[in-house]
This record gives sequence, C-alpha cells and structure tokens, in this order.
Amino acid sequence: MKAARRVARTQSQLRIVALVSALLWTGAVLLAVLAVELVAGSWKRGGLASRWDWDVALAIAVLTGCWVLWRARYVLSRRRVALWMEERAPSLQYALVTASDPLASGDMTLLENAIEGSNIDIFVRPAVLTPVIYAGVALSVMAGAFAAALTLASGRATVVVHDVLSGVGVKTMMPNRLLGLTVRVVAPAYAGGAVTSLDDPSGVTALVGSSIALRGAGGITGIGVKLGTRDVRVAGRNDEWEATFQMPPVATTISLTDRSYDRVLAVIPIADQPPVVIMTQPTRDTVWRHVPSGAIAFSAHATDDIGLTDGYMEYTVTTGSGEIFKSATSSTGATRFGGAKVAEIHVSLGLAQLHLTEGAILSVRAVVSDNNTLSGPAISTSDTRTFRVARADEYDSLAVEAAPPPPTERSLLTERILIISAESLFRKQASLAKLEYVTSSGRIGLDQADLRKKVYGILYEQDEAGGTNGVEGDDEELDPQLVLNRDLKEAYDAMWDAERSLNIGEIKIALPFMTRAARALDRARLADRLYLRGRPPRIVVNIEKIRLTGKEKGISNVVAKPRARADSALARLDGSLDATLGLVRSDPAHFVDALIRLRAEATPVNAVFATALGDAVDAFRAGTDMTASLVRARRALLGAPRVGNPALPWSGSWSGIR
Amino acid sequence: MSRFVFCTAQYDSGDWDSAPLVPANLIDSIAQYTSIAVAPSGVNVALASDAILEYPLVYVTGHLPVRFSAAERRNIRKLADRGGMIFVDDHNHDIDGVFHKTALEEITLALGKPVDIPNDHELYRAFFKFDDGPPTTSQELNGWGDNLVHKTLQGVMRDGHIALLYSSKDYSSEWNYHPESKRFNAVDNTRFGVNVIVYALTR
Amino acid sequence: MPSPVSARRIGEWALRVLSIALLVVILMRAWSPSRAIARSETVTEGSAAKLLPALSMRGPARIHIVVDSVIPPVQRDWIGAIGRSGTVVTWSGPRIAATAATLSRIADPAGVSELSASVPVGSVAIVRDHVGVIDSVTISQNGLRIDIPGAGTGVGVAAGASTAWAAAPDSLVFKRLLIEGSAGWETKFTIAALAERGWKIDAITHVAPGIDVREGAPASPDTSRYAAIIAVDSTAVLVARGAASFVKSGGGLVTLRDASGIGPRTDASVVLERRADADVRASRAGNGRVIHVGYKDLWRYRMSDDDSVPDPVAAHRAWLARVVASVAYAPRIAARLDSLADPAPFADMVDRIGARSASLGAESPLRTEVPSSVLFGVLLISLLLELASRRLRGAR
Repeated sequence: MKAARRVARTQSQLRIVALVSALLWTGAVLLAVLAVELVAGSWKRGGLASRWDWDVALAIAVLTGCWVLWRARYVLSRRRVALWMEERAPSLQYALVTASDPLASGDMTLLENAIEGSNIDIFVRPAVLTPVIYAGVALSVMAGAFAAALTLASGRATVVVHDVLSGVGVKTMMPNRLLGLTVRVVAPAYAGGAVTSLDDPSGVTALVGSSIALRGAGGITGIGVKLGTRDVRVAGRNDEWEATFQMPPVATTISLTDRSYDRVLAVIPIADQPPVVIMTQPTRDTVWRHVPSGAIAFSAHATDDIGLTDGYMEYTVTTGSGEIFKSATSSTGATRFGGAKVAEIHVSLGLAQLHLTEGAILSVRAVVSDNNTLSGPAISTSDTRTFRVARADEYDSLAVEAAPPPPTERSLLTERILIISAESLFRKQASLAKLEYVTSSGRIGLDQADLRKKVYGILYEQDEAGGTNGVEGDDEELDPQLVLNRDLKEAYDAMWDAERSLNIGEIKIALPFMTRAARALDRARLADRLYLRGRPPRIVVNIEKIRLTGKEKGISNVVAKPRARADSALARLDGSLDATLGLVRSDPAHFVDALIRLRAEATPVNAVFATALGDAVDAFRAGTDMTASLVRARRALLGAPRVGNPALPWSGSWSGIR
Repeated sequence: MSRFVFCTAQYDSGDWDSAPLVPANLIDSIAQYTSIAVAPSGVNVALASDAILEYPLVYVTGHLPVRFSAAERRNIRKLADRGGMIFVDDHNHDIDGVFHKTALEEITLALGKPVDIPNDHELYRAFFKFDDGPPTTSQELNGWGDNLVHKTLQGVMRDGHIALLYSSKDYSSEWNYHPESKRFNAVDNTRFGVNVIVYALTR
Repeated sequence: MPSPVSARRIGEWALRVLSIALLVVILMRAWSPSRAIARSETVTEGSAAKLLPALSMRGPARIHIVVDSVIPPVQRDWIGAIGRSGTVVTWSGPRIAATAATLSRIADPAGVSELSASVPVGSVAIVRDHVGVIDSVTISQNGLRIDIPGAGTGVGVAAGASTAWAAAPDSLVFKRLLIEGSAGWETKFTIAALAERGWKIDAITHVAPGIDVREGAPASPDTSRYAAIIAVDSTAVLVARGAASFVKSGGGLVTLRDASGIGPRTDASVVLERRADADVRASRAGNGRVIHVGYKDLWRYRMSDDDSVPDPVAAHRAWLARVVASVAYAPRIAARLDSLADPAPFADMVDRIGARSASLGAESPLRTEVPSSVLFGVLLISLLLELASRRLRGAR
C-alpha cells in the first residue's frame, strides 16, 4: 500500500474515532452532571429532573463533546495525520511524511519500501482506538455513577445493603424508610375506581371503602403499620414495602414504625352522601270534591354525589274512618339511572286502578337509591304529596274549595301579577308622561286595594268563624290566632303601604312592600294547609276555677338528674390543642404526629377545626408559617373574641347581646 | 309570667287533628294538679313554620300515613337539638298500622332510631309515680287495634333527656274526651299526660 | 511690623501654648470623664444591648435617647440606672404608643378571660398570644375590652411600636349556682343553659304546692357553697329568704323579670344594656352584686330562628353566662409570676427614665463633643510643627 493511501485510510479512521469519542464523552458528562444533581438533591422525588436540570446537564455535555472534537481537529489535515502516525512509529524517520507529501518529487520507492517494511500498523491501530476505549470506559463509569446516585437518592441502595447485612447478622445503620412515602388511592368500583397518587402526604382523604396502598423504599423487615389499633399486613414488592387497607368509615390515624422511627398519617373518610330527590310535579296537595278519574302526572328530580341506581314513585292508598283505617302501599314508574348523577322520574298514575272511594287518601312520594355497593345503597325520599277525596257529608270549606286555589293562594298569585305589572310600568317610566304614569300606577293601586280587602276578609272570617285556637283575655300571652295568621297580617300591612305608594305613583317605594306581602302570603299559605276535618272544637278551660282541685297528689321532692356540660368534646379538643402546641418546644420531633392525631380525632366533632389543623401540618412540613392555620383552628374551636364596651362602668365582661 | 301553651303540630300529611280534645283535657289536668301557669286552650301550629319553635313541647298524633316535609323534619331537629320535646302518639294503634310504620320511618330519618325507654325512667316519676312504666290504655285492654299491650314507650334521647317520646299506646284515644267528663272517672287516666308535660318543662 | 523670624517665633510660641492647652484638656477629660460630654443616640431593641455597656463605661453628662420601639424592661432599668448615676437622660419616641393591658379570668366555666387595654384612640390594636394573632381592633373609644375564649397564658396588645404583655390571668375557684323558679320554659332553659356552660347547679323547680323537682342539693344561700343565686320568678322563696345576707357577704344575685322584688334594696344601678322598654341593671349591695334582667321570656332567645344568630343555643348560654359572670363570687388563686409580662411599657418607661420629651429640638441643644483622640492628634501635629519650625530656622 502506498504511503499516501495509508495516511488517507488512517485519516478516515481517526475522523470516525473523533466523532464516536466525542459522542461517548458527551454521554458520559451528561450522566455525570445528572448524577451530581441527583445527589445534590435538586431533583424531585421519584427521579424526575426539572427542565433546568436537563438544560444544564446537556449544555455541559455538548460543550465537552465540542471540546473533544476541537482537540481532534488535526484529523482534517493529512500532513498532520502523517505526523501523528510518525509519532507512533519514530523508526520511520519522517519517511511517511515525505512519501505522502503530494508536493514531494523524485523517486519514492526507497521510502515506500522502508514504510512497508516497518510494519507501521502494529503501532497505529491501537493508538487509533485508544480515545474510543477511554471514552467508552468513562461512559460506563458515569452510567454506574448515575445508577448509584439514583439508588442513593431513593434510599434503596442502603436499604438493600442493610437487608443483606442484617440477613447475615450484621447490624448496620439504615435511613428512615418512612420518609418519601407514596400513597395510591383507588376509589370504590361503584364510584368509578379512579386512581390518585399522593407523594409523601400528611394524611389521606378518600371515599369510604377506597383501597389505599402505602408504599415506601426498602424491605419489609422492621416495618409496622397500624390502622387505628388494628395491624395492617405489610407486603414486599420490587424492593419496596407496601401496606394496603380500606378507608374506614370513621376518621383515624395510620401509625407507621420502622425500628426506632415512627410516623403518623391522618386517615380522613369522605362519606357517600345520600341522594336528594324533589317532587317537581305536582307542587301541592289537593282535595278532590268527587272521586276522580283519569290520571295524574308525577315528576321528580334526583341528584347524588356519586351516582344513582334506580328510583320509583311509591303510593299509599288509605281508606277508612273513625278508628279503623286500611292502607296499601305500592309503587310505579321504576326507572334505572345507570349511575347518573342527575336524573328524573316521570310517571303517569291512572286513578281508576286505585279504586278510590270517598274519604280515601292517596299519598305519593318519589324514592331513589344510589349505587353504593359497599355499605348498601342509600335510599332517599321526596316530600309526600297527599290527595284526599272529600266525603259527601263532611263540612270542610277549605277542603272542598281546594280544587281551585284557596283564597290565600289566589291572592298570592295575584300579588305576583301586581308586582310584575308594577315592575313593567316602572321600566317604562322614562317613556311615559308623568300623568299617564301616575294614573297607571293608581290603577295597580286599586287592584292592590282589592287584594288587601280580600286578605282582610280572610282574616276577618277566620276570626269570626274560628277563634277556636284563641286564648281569650290573655294580654300577656301572644294570641295564638295571631301566631297562626301573623303572616297574613304582615301581608295585609305591607299591602297597605304598597297601596299608598302606588296611588301617588311611587312604584319604586311600593315594590319592596309588595314583595314583602307576596312572601308573607307564601308563608301564610304554608301555615294554613289542609284542615281535613274542619276546625277542631274550641274548648277553653277555666283555669282559675279548677286550679289545684285534683283529688290525686303527685310525689314530692322529685330528684332530677344533673345536666351535663355541653361541648365537652370541644373542651377536650381545646386541651389537646394546648398540649400539642406545647410539644413545639418540648418534643418537636413528635409535634406533627400529635397534630395529625388531633386532626383525626377532631374530624367527626368539628370539621372546620380538623381542616385547619391539616393546613397547619402541611404548612409546618413545607417549612412555612402555620400561625394563620392555628389561629383559624382555635377560632373554630373556641369562637371569635367578643369586643365589649370599655366605657361601661361594670366589670365582669359585660358585652351585651349580639 | 310566661304561661305554658299546649301545642298540637299541624303536619302536611295525615290527620294531625284526630284527637282534638286531648289538649283541653291535658290543660285541665295540669291546672288541677299543678301550679304551672298554663294557657286555657291550646294552639295548632304548622310544623313546617318557624312559629313551632315557640312551643318547646309539641304533640303529634294521627291515624294516617305520616310523611314529613323537609321543613317539618328540619324543625323537628331544631326542637330536639334546642332542648324541646316532641310527643308522638299513634292514634291508629293497629297491627303494623300506617301511622306507626310511617311515623317511625320519619322519626328515624329526622332524629335517629328511637330506643325503648326503661320503665324506671324519671319520666314515670316526673309528677305521678308509675311503677310499671307507661299506664295501659283501655284500647290496649280491650284488645283493639294491634291487640297488644305495649310494655314500654320509645324515645330519641339528646344530652340525657327525651327529645322525642313515641307511644304506640294510643293515648290520643284515651284522653280524647271533654274535660268535664273527667269527674266520672274513678282514676284520672290523664295523669301520665301530666307527667309528660312536667317532664318536658323541668328536664 | 515684626520681622519674619520674630513672627515665626510667635507662631512657635502659639503652637506650644496650644499643645499645653490640649494636653490639659485631655488630662482633665481623663480625670473626670462625665463632664463636658453630651450624646444623642438612637436606640432600638437590638442596638441597646451594645450601646448601653458603652454608655455605662463613659458615663456622659447627658444622653438623649431616640427610641423607635419599646425596649425591654431590663434595658429600661439600665437606662434608669445611668440616669441615677449622674447622667441626664432624656428620651423621645414618637411611635411609642401609651399602651397598657391587663388580663383577668371572668367567672365563666367556659374559660373566658377579659382583656382590658388602654390604647390611643384611632390606632389599630393587634391582640396576640403565644400561638399568634387573636384579633385586631380599631380603637374608636378610650381603650379596649375584649373577651378571649381560652386565654390561659399571657396576651399582648400591640399598637404602633409598643406592645403591652398582660400576665397570665389568675385561676378562679368556681362554686355552685342556686337557681329557683316555677316549672316553665324560663326555669328549665336557664338551668339547662348554665349547666351546659359548665356551672355546677343546685336547682329547685316548683311544680305544685309541696312538690318540687330538685337538682343537686339545694341549700340556703351561702358564699361558702354558691357563687351566685338566681331567682327566675317570684316563687323563688329559698333564694328570697337568704338573698340579702348572701349578697352582703359578697355573693351575686340574678333576678329575672318576674322576680324583681327579690333581693336587697340598692340605691344606684348601672344600666348594662337596654332593648325596647326593658333593660339589664347592675348594682352593688354590701360586698356583693345584683343584676336584674328586665327582658321577658329569655328562653325564646334559645329557640329563635334568627339567621343572624347561627347557634342560638350557644348564644343563649353565653349571654346568661355573662350575666352570671358579672355578679358571681369566685375566689382567685394567683397565677405564677410571668417573666414575659410587661403590662404597661410606656408608663414603665416614664417611671424609670422620665417623661418623654416632645422632641429633640425642644430641649436645649446638645453641645457637640470633640473626641479625645482628635484632640490628641491635633496635639501631636502642633508639637511637630513647632519642632520643625525651630529646626528649619537653625535653632535647637
């Protein structure tokens, strides 16, 4: 082979070697920097580097690669490659350089022969590969260092070493395996089985029945886990220990021990709420004058926090009179909701099939159940709608007139119409002439006056016909009749005020009174519902006449059980909080554990206090100020301070009614 | 001095006014045996209205299915939590009667499951002494209704006192007569009613 | 006209005189250091620890201290001692508010303490304890009175740059309450509210002639057993019989609306609050106190459905507890001395150091002090100049 070709071949090899070793060094440096960052703790738990960590490592590695390439720039020049070869085989005495020089003239046979005879490849080939070997070794070492850093950072290496050594009876120091826990929560199947992971939390909050897995680094030897007072089995898995349990129905703590180390986590259950169902149609009870025919439409709206399973309308038909009644309960309109959170039930109930007779009562309510398969479905019911068939011989004015809206109800509707009219007129005020505006307002005022008189009529009639509930001649006592009708009286007074303002065109002033009247009528309607048998007979006992005339005597000096102090649970929590805060100085290592225990204890008693304690724990663990959380906790427990009147010339903390 | 006013709860479902003479009869007994200041007649107040809270002792009775509305349930809870007492009596007194069945369901929903009140409870010594627990009614003795003599009353407790007293003994029938007729009785059968009221007013 | 040489000699003499004079001044300062020195120092809580030893060593004739926050009692004592050792000490501190605070446990078993504080009108008082901030109040009247639930340790009131730390309150001995009235909602719920608050109760409820419901072991009113006695209505005969002597010997009496005739006669009364046509009045009789509550049917407060009262049962309890606390007899057990207590820092500074100067300018101006080291330097320069002048003109 000619010298020039020999040099050219070596040059090609050196180029490849330069490129490969540059890449290998780049990789090695990249791993080295990442390992340093790991050990320095700049990575998050779980081995995820931040963008910044990657950027720094990559920059340093690329610079290193460039530097390696720069150092190998001689491979671009054939003469310098020839010199590099001469350096490896000094016995050539520049024969190679001379023979490969394109500018050289003359017979080169002698030189070529000398080169051929020198067996130059023996020296050159190993030298060509050396940089690649070095770079490969560096990459391997750095990969090992990176792996070591990775295990060191997670604490697994030392745990493995400890386990191995303890297996052969050698005692070693080992780090706390209760740090850096991961918690995996799997919601119950009926709630969708959603999976959430928590990194090193101070507590676990999950739906009752959720599957909770606590995981930590290292073997299981020496790890103890207690849920409340119950031991939880610990299993080993892939160089990790794992404790699995189900979320209990009451708040508690999970206590972890690892030889002399211990740790507490709050376990706070979230209860599955029962569904809520509202009968949307019909909206009120009814009394039928005659035995009805046809059908009634019923609708109900149901919601649940997790999901609804099914629902139906339950109806009870009660017949009978006096002391003898019969009832039969049945259901209709069964609907499956398939886990929907919001659902509707629509049913049309044929009345003929119910065989209603005079005096019969039909009670209908919606019943829904949720899809809780763990503790059994929660069943909720709506308000019941009651329908009664009046007897032909009964006297019950309100009941028999109930098919059309009763007077109060009609007044309420009309009051609403008046409000709508007044609001509409008020909006048009700018576009109307003042006289027209006042005249229109006055017309509404006249309608308002009519309504007021109707309400007065209702009040008056009740007083005349009834008075059955009244307490006569009792100035001190609140008249029970007024108690019953005071909403109506309030409506009446408000209508007066509205009427006066409407008559002079002051709609803006009248509207609040009209609204108040409508609300009071609404309340009166509620209070005056359903007199099934008309008014009960009125009996007024002559107290003064019969006072202490009874022939029998009671037992004297009855001893009552003393009453207990209320809120003793809160007082106990307050004491515990004080004691726990005292640990900040006396035993700071167990301060957080004590707070977590207190949080679990407080959850069923005072949720706000418990939540504030949870915030305090999180703040403490994050190294931030927990004062605000503790102040909030204390307020939840003891209430806010009361500011009194400093000028009052009486001590003893008089601060008056609030 | 503020007087005790006997209050009958007016609930939306059922026949809340099935025993209209009971209030007057118990008021009469309170006046005859005690010096408690009492209003001469009772009041009927809607259980769903806020006004019910002005009457810490509330009498609930009826024959028909009881289905409390949300507002009624809320007020029952408020009465119980604030130290009041609800006295529920099954006027139906039938085997698995609708009032009994539905009222217990509703009570459980509103306040929790009622428990048997022991027959040596202070309710039975609150004024008159009933050594054997709740007095038997003539309805029970005659074998009417469920043909049972109920040995105990039931109740829901709050802070050591009875917040809701439930009776299957049909005192509503037993006491539902005009007070003037009381003089014909050899033994006043409303005495236990006095105990209920005195208990509510003093515990 | 003197020749240059003679002028130079005059100058040399002047330098010699100056040097001797400076030497005399320095010697005099060394001999009696407190004279002829006046200083103005700005003192903060942190700097006082360094400055006070230095001031104590030098003992200046006069110090004016500008204080930017309240300095601890020990340092106040130190400054006072400097003042008493011959140095005239004045101080100013415009941000130091005249605050003072005291904390006392009130006769309420729920563990409420009353903080009374003097804070300038218009300032914002921040109340705090060892846990953190309890509340902040803008002072619109003269001072502050605030009930703090559960305050078992000292409480501080900060206003401006000064914080007054009230010492932990004394403990109280809680005796029992005697409540008497006829069977009814008022008697029942009065007993219930106070028992639920934590009071131990003896109660008599009159049901019929000769028939009472008794709770505890009711006995004649006596301060050895009862902190206060409560008459719910006019049937409270046991309370009525012993009320006068009980109150005279230090006990508290509470009469509700229907028991107005019960209790000793009192001449003057204080209206604690008024609503509509009724009020709550307090008065003294002998060593004890009496409160008459004129409101009708207090029990309705417990049963009210007013949205503005989130927990009417607790509100009813707390209100009745305050009525009782205003009269109850509760012997005190002194709390341990609280080393952190500093109940009136401003008054203490005035007491120890003297009244606050309006400002530095209002005082006679302080003389500026030239340090002795500077005088010594001038002395050396003067001597060098004199020597140089002599040698340069050939004299020895």
